Amino acid sequence: METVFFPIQKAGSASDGTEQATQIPVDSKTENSDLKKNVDSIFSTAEISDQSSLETKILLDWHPAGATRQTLVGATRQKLVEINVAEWWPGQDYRIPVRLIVPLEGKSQGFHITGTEELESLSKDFKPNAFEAKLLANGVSLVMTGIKALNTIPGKQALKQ
Amino acid sequence: MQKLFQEDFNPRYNPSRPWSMTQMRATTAAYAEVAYFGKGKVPGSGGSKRAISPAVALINDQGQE
Repeated sequence: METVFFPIQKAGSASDGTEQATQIPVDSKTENSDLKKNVDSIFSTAEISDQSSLETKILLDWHPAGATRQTLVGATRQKLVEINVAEWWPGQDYRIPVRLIVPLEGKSQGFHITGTEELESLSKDFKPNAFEAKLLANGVSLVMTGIKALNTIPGKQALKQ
Repeated sequence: MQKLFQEDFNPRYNPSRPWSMTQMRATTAAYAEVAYFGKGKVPGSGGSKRAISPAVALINDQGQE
């Protein structure tokens, strides 16, 4: 399936004097080069899915976490890595931590992904809440990463330029 | 970056682009751990629709549901 963007383009005035907008689908076959210039290649799925460009740095390798003496509910294996999101500007990589949380045993099928503004919290072992523990118990992993404005990330302010 | 965005509204320079890119690349990082992550449904959540929407689109495009 190919993602199709729908940029809003003004199309004159309506009978009541208000401006109306029409949506024009744009895809790789669109001949309007001005529109393509603005919407094409925003995300390259091939590049995003390229594992070789992640340049993964292991900050904390797989280890058990979350179990208590009383119960194994919420017991997980976790790994903390830092990945290269992209070379945002020439010579400037945008790297971000990612915490991977999987059930204590077995291979998960699918995962829940979310982000946090508190990047520091990613460095600590994640303690699943009741809902997340239920996901893990049913073989669904968790992936947590940092979602934060570039100019508020220590050492990354230059990326915003 | 904001200045470039204001010139022609190219979403490439939208301040929210790094967020969705981050989630999409984190998805790639998870699937790189083949011994731990199998293919399956990928629900996403978060407070930023601008981050999660493109990520969902990409995951869908890649047939990762």
